[in-house]
Amino acid sequence: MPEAGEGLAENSAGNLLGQALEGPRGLSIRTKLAATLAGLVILSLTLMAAFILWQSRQALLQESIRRGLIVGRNLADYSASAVLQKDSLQAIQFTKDALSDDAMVHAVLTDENGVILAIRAASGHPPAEFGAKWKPLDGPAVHADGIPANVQVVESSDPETGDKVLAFSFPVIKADVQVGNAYIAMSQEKIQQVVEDTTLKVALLAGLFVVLALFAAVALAGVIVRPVRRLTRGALAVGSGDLDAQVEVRSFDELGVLARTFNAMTLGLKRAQKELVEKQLLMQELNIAQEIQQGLLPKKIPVIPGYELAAFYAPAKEVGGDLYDFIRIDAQRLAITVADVSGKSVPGSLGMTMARSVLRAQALSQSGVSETLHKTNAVIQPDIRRGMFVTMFYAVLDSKEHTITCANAGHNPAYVVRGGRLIEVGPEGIALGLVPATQFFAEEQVVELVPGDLVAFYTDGVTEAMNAANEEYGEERFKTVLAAVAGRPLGQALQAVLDDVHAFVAGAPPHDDITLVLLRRKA
Amino acid sequence: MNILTVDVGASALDPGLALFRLKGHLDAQTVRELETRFDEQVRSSRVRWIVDLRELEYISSAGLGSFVGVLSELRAQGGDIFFIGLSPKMEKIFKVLGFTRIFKVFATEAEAAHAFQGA
Repeated sequence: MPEAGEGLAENSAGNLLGQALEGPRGLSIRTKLAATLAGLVILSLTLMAAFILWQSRQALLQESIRRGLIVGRNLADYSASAVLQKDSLQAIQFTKDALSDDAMVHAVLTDENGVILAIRAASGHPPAEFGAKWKPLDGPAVHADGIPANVQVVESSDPETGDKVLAFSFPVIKADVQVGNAYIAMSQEKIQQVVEDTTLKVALLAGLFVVLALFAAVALAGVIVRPVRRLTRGALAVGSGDLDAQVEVRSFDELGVLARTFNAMTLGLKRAQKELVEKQLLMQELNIAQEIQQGLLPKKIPVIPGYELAAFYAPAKEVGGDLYDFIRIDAQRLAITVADVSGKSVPGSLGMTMARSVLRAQALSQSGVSETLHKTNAVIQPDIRRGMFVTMFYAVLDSKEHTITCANAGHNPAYVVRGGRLIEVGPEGIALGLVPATQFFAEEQVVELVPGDLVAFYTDGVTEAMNAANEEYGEERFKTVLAAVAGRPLGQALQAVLDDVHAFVAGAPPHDDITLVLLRRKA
Repeated sequence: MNILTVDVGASALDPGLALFRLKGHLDAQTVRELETRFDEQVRSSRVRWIVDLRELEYISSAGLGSFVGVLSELRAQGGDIFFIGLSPKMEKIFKVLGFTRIFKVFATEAEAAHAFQGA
């Protein structure tokens, strides 16, 4: 069921991508920014306008009161005698003077009983008649600095026009006695006008600023949203498997940092994926190579009367390419070979497969030992991969004659241990695959075996085994241990040699295959 | 991770000769780098090479194979590879593998260059 599972996983990933493609839901960043900015502008302008209006209104009011106080005080002071004497003609003159201030609406002088002595309006239509009782204008009292305690100021409206006015009432005092009252009304239309003008201007300005703010918000949102969109596109591309996707970055702000991080992440992902794929491929290849390699090794050790055989092979993790083989040529002759191919992994294993098959065919054709290597080289050399070669020690044991006939195609020598001493058997020769048949050569050497002789065939994986300090096990150690263990039962001797190698390597990972074949003529 | 450095230049003794100086580990991994440098020289038709192994600490069979791999191409164009600076251990490897029968080995660059002039 793994396919169904994968299908599901893909679907849900597809859904997520689909959702991302739909774009943002609800209000976009642009709208939110525009609304916020516009709101802020309107709020701040309104507050500012209110403050300015209140300030200018206060200033104007103060000014009006100041003027009103001056005009009213003058009127009350100058007309005191006229009011005392109830001299209307003179009083009228004073009210006329009072109206010389263009903000003045009317001026009234009354006697101590409130009877009008003089009345005059800027409009020419006084609100009351001479001799009538004056009804002072009513309204909320105005409190401001500089208003004397005996002066009342109220906000009211002109009984004639309904316009807003400031109404002042002053006592008219002669010789410390109040003889009447002076009333004036000052138009507040000017103030009203200024307030209205200011309000209009502020409103217009506010409108202009709101429009500007909206533009700014849209532009700003664009600046923010564009890289975000680019990032979204990049993320979608990466999500759909394109690990080459990179986001163009110009800015160095937080979004720039994000985009750079994104790019670095994508590169990292790509590298990681590549490494994973390469590693998997390598592992796969190594597994195949090892399978081939293992398939080449003999399934069992042949039994030869009067002789014992033991073999060991351990593949290295990465390199590989060793082989040992036994080929029964006839009833009394057995070919023993150890070989090492220069290539690694699958190509190496295939090269070795070829060499082994050709050798097996040639070995059975009753040729001589050197001739067998000659023929093997002649067959594989034209076909083997360029630069690849196989070193091979090839020996034929004659169990009746008690001899081994050896030829060596560029391989390490073999050792015969006899009575605690070592005899090196290393006839000269060129590795298989290096040169064409005409240049190939492999000497032959015959060694007679006496009872108790131990013969060791090996690959350089043994002698070049390295410890963590990159020191090689070396031929001298190998020879010493061979001499030391030669008297033991063959299986134990083999194990003792390997133990010695392992002890030297001390856990360092093997960098080459290790192959060791031991042959002993029974005592 | 073992490292190989390959320094390729014209020989001071004869600008027609390419001098390869190898340093470090030449194994199945690092051999790729070397083969890239081989290709560069072959493409630019420099086919007479002196390879200096004096500073090479380790050479694997795959590394050795790379020289064999390129040799026939060089010889087809009238070129060759001469080795110099072999350690006793490398000399032994060369001898065991039969490399000494394929490649000429000299003690010094001068001797190798002289041999090329004679050829």
